[in-house]
Amino acid sequence: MSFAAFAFGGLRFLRPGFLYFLPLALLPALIHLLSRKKAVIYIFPSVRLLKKDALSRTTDFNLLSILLLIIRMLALSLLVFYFAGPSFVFGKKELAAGGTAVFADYSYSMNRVSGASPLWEDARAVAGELVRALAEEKPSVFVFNNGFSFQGRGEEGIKALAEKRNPTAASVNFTEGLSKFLEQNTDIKRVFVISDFAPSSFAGEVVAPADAQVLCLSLGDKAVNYFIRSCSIYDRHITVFPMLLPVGRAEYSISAKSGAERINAIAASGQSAAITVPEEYSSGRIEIDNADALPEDNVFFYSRPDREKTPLPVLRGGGGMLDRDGTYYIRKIVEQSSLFSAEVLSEPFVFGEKLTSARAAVISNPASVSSSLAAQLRGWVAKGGLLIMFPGGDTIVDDMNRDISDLLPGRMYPVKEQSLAGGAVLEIPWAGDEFSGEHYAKLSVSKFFPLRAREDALELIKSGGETLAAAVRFGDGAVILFALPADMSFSNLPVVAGFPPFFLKSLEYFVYERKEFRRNYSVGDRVSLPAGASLSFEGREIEIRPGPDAALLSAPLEEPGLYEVSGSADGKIAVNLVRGAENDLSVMSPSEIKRIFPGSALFKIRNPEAEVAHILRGKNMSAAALLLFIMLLCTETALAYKLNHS
Amino acid sequence: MPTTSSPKLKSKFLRPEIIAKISRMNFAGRKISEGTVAGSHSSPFKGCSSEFSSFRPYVQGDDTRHLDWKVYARCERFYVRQFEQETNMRSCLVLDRSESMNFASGAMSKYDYARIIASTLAYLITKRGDSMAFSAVSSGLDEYFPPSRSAGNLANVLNAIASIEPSGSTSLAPAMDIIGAKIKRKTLIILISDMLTGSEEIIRSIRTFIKQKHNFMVLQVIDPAERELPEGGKFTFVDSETRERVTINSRRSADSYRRQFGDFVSGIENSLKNCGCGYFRFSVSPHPEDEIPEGLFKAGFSFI
Repeated sequence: MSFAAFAFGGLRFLRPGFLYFLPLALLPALIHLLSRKKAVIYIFPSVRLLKKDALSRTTDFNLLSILLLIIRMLALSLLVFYFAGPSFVFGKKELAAGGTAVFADYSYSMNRVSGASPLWEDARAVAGELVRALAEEKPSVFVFNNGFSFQGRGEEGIKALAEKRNPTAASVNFTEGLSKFLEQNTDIKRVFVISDFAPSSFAGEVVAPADAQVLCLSLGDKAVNYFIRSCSIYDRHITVFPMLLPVGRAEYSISAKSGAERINAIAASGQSAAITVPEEYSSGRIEIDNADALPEDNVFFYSRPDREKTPLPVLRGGGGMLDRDGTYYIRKIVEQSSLFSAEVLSEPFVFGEKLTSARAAVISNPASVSSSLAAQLRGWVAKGGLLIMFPGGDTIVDDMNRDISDLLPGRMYPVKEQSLAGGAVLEIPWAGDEFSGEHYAKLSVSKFFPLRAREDALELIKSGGETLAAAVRFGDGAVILFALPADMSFSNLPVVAGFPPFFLKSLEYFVYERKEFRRNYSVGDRVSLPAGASLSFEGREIEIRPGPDAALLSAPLEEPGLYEVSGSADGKIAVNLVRGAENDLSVMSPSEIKRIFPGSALFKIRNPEAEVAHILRGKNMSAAALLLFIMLLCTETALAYKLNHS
Repeated sequence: MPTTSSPKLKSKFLRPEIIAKISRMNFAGRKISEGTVAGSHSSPFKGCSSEFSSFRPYVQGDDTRHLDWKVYARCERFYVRQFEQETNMRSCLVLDRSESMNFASGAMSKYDYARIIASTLAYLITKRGDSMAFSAVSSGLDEYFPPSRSAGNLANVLNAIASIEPSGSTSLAPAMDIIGAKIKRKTLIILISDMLTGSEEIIRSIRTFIKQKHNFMVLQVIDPAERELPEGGKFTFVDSETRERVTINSRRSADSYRRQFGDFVSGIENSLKNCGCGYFRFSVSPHPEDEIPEGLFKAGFSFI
C-alpha cells in the first residue's frame, strides 16, 4: 500500500498494514463486558441506608471504570499506531505542483562500503524507494559523475540503475549542471540528490527556483581510505606513491604481480616506495596488501612497452667540479628509464651531429650554445624535437638571454638558491637583493612566453607556488625550460622526488606518446591506436572508430585492467582508475552541504526504506506515539490500583 | 393459670425454656399505674380491685359488702359495686408484621424472633394477671385483640402470633393512631418492630402516647446481617417491601453503611429515650433462649 493511498489529512502511516490491528483496541471493552460479574440479588429489609451512599459510590465506580477503559483502549491504539509508523505532515511549505527528479551519485567514491553494502547499492535502494512512493508522479531518474545522464522515468529509471555496473568514473562539479537543469526544466519542482557528498563533486552554489525544493539525502559516514595515488614505471622498478588518509605515517606492504604470479613484495612506510619488477615483466599490477581501501584502489595496472632505448644527447656546458655538473644527475635519472639512454657530450659540434638522429636533447648550460647551434636547435625543435634546458650555475642573465634569445622570445631570469644558516635564501644575480615571492612571480609562463597560449604550457611547481619550469610547443616540438640548474650548486632540484618522474614523463610524452599509442590510460579515456589495430578486454572487443590523423580512437574505457592490443600493433595497455580526489573518502559536513544547496533539506540516510518514507511523509510521530503509550500505561496502572484499593 | 404445657397454649413461639429462665430471674418490671408497685403485691380488697368499675343490680348470692348504700338511698334499690380486678399493668403488644421483618440471615427471621418475644411477653403478662391487648400492624392495623386477662385471650393471641405471616409495607404511625384511639386507660404499649421505615413518624406517635400518660416500650429487632453488608463485591439489594433495587459494591460501601446503620439505630435509641420511651434492641441470634430472657431483663420487665 503506497503511503499516498493511506493518509488522513496530515497523518500518514509507513506500515499501514498494522492498522488492521486497530480493532484490538476494543479488547479491553470486550473483556470488561464478558467478565463483568452479575450482581447477586439480595433481598434486604430496607435499602434506605444503602441509597444514601450507594449512588455516589456507584457513580464513582462507573466513572473511574469508564476512564480506565478509555485509557486502555487509547493505549492499545497508540501501540498499533507506533508499529504502523505514523508521520504527520504539518507546517510544511506547500510545493508548487510539478514533477520530481532524482539524481543518484554515480562516482567512484560510491563504491565505498558503509554498513552492510556499498553506497551505490544504498543509493539505488533510496532511489527505488522514492520512485515507489511517488509512483503516480513517475519521477525522472538521473545519475551523475562527469555530468548527469537520464536513466528513465519511474520504474524504468530504477531498472536502468539496477543494470548499471559499479561506478568507476570520477565526478566533476555537479552543482553548476544542476543549477542549469533547474533553470531549464521549470516543471521540476522537487529534486532529490542522493550522494555521499564528497567535496570533489560539489563546488559553488546550486541556484534553485524559489518554488522548487531540493532534498539532499546523504549516505555513508566519513571513512579512511588507503589507495595507490600513482605509480612511476622505470626499467627495473616501479615507484608507488600511496595516498594515506588521514595524513600520517603508516606501514603498508605492496606486491607486484603478473597474472597469478607474485613477482615481488616489500614492506614500506612513508610517502613512496619502490618495488623492483624485472624488465621481462612488461605488464602486470601493483597491489597494496592492506585493507581499508576501495576494491580497485588496491591495484595499479602497468604496461611497459618493449622498445630499444632512444639516445638522449646531453650537452655539458661550462666545466668544473662534478658537483657543479648538472649532467651527472641527468645521466643518473635517465639510467632509470627503459626508454632513453643518456650520452653526455662536451663538444657542441658533436652534440649538433647527434641531434640529427635524436628525438630529445638536454642542454645543461646554454652558455655552451653557439649561434649556429642555436639555429640548428630551432629547426630541430620545429620538426618535433624536445629540448630540455637548464641554466648553468654561472650563467648571468644577459648571457642567458643573448644565447637563446632567438630561440626563446622574452627574457629569462635564472635564480640561485644559497643555503645559509637559519634558512634558505634565494639570490637574484641581477637584483642583488634577497628574493621574495614578488620576484619569483616573474618566473611565469606569460612572462617567458607572452605570445604562447597558456594551455600549451606545463608547469612544474615547487612547494610554495613558485614556478620551476615552463614548457612551450614550438612547431612540432617543444622546449622545457628549468629555472634552476640541474646541479646542486643552487638547489636540490635534481634530488627532489618529483623531478625525475617529471623529467622522464616529459621525455616519454613528447618522444613517444605523441607519436605512438600510449601504454597507460585512465578509466574514461579513449585509446588512440594506429590504423589496423584492435583492442579487447577480457575477450570483449572494444568499439573503435576512425580518429584524427588517420589514427583510430576507441570508445571510452569503462573498466580498469590490462587491455590487449592486436593487429597492426600489439602489447598491453594498462587502464587505471582515476586517482586523486575521488578516492579521498572525506565527506562534506552538513553546514558545507547547506552552503552548496541553500534552502535545501538535508537528511542522513541509514535505513532507506524507513527514512525515505518518513522524509516524504513528514514528521515521524512514532516516538511521540510510544511516549504517549508509556504515559498512558503508567496512568492506567495508577488508576487501576486506586480502583481496586479505594 | 394455664401453663405452657396447656393444650390451648401450644405455640412454637412460646418456648418453655425461655419462660423457665425468666421465671428464675427476678425482674423488676416497669411501673404503670398511679402509686402502686407493679406486680409487687395483691390488692387489699380481697378478690377485688380498689378501682371501681360499675354498678349492677343485686342478685341473691352477691356479697352484701359490695352493696352501694348511697345508690339505695337515692333510689331504694339494691345495687352492688363492680370493681376492676387489680392489675399493675395494662399492656398492649404491638407486633410489626411488615415484610421487612421477614428478613433472615440465619435460621431465624426477625419476625420469628419477634414472635418469640411477643409470645413470651403475652404469656408472662397474662400469667401475672394483667390484661393484655394484642395488635399486628404493618401499613395499618391488621389484627387487634382487645385487652383481656383471660387464658382464652392468651390462647387467641398466641394463635394469632403463630398464624399471622409477615406482609405489607411498614407504616406504623397510622396503625398506632388507631391503637391509641382504642386504648382508654393507661397502658404499657410494647412495640416490637425493626423500626426501619417511618421511624420519625413512629417517634412522633410515641410522643403523643407518652403525653397521654401511657408508657411506651420499643423493642427493636434487627438481624446482624443488617448491620453489615454481605461480603463478596457486587450486590443488587432489593427492598423487601418496596422492591426498590440498589446495586453497590459491598467492598466499597461496607464501612460507610456500617457507620450509617450505627448512626441510625443510635439515633432511634436516643430519640426514644429523650421522649421518655423505653428502648431495647434485640439482635436475632440462633439462641433466643439465652438472649431473650436477658434482653427482657435488661429492658426492665418484671413479671413477679
